[in-house]
Amino acid sequence: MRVPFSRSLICASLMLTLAPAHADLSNIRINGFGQVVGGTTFSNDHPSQGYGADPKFDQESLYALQISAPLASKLTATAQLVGKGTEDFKPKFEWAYVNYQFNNDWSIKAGRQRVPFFSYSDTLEVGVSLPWLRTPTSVYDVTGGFGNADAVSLSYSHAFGNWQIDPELLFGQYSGGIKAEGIDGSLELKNLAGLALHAGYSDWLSLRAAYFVTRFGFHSPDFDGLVGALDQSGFQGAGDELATNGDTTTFLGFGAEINYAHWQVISEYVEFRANHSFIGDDHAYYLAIGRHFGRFLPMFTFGRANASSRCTALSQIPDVPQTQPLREAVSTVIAAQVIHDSYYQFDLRYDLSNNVALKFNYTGTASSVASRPSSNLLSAGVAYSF
Amino acid sequence: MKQILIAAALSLMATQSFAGAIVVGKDSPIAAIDAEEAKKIFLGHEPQMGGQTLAVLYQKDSATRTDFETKVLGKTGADLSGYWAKLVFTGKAQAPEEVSGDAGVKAKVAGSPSAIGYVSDAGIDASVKLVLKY
Repeated sequence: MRVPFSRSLICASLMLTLAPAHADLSNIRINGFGQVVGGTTFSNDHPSQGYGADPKFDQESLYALQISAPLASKLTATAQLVGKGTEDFKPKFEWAYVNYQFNNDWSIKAGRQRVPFFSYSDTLEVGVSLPWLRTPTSVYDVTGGFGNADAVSLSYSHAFGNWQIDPELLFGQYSGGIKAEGIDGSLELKNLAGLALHAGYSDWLSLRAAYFVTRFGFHSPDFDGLVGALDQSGFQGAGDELATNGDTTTFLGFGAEINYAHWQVISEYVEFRANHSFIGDDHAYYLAIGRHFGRFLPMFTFGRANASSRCTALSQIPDVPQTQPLREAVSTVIAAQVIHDSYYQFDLRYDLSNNVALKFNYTGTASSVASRPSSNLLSAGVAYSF
Repeated sequence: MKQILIAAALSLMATQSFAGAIVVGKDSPIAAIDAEEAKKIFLGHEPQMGGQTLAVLYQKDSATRTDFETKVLGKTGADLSGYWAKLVFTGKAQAPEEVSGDAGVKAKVAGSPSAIGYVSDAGIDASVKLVLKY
């Protein structure tokens, strides 16, 4: 689990930039993880997760280094550097925070960190710790790939008899790029606040609930252009209804997991509601059932994602010939939010060794929305940690 | 039937010969701990004791390690690695330091009052303080 200091010059220079001059270098921990994944959809007409007919190996492949340095008693600085295949493996600081551990129960974390929306938020990219090749798309795509925030979080962790209770309070913000359903835009989350509560019973039951609220802003050149055109044509009301000008958005999630006598059952349900904007109200769930056979873990997952739009922008534009182009553009944006998708996922994990796992996944997607193509995706990969 | 008996006898012998103990340095403030506490400490749930941050030591792959993990932690191998990957890469705990054999543990605890590790029965001597026998 630990890499000796001398093993890598790159690591050494990284650590030097992080460590204060007086820090004891022998206490600095470097851990890493990564995965190489390839996949194909067999047909170019039905893309999925960035894959097409020609096998691709860069969509989900990544490597990561985590450096953790004790700064003082109870105070630790942690940075996670991640290079993703979709970004030419350019390393980027995904996390950079300091953690102060008051005692065995209380700790506070400040800096860039993962927002605990989902059961597997924290380990989304740590393939070797996941039973699947990727977390179930139906639920984990609800936040459109967004996951990190510059935040302060307060955590408590305590055992009450057989129950382990871990609540986490988070307050922060985020601004940066986002890629959702092929749209390149930027996202601004202000006053992101919420609570994630986890409760574990004995070693076999795990329950969680999470609630977050934020002021949401989405911008892209095309989208802002449309809102601008509405404003200029005198339909400011419609523009306001369509745009995400810091409108209140809420996220609610529940999760349960059972690990009992070789069986593993995992389920999550999430809801995402955006008021006064084009963004649809999402609700999604999945249920996964797997069984361990020695080093093998086959798992079947069924998931559904539904989204509808409550956006009233269209009703504020009179239906006359002159407004047809605007009405068409607005209804296209709103219609793209509607989702009724089912996912059938079969995963097989094989533990090659304690820290290396081979994974295979087949995901079939079917949609009752005509404009959303069904797809078949076959992918395989190797995930590791050190 | 005979084979099963032999196997059972062998495994019993194996278990006995690989018994061990959780140890700390002579000047460590930690006295005795119970099995539940041991599990918490070595699974990263109890990062501090007596106000100081503990330095948890694991042995590199060995029979002593497998024995300790099976008896005290109740999980081993890929299961335990996955467990630690989750804690470490979510910043919830520091990965234990891995040292070589009983000698490595003894050298480390002797030099640091906050260090805690485990050694096989054969490794117990006057240089360490025994806090739990398993």
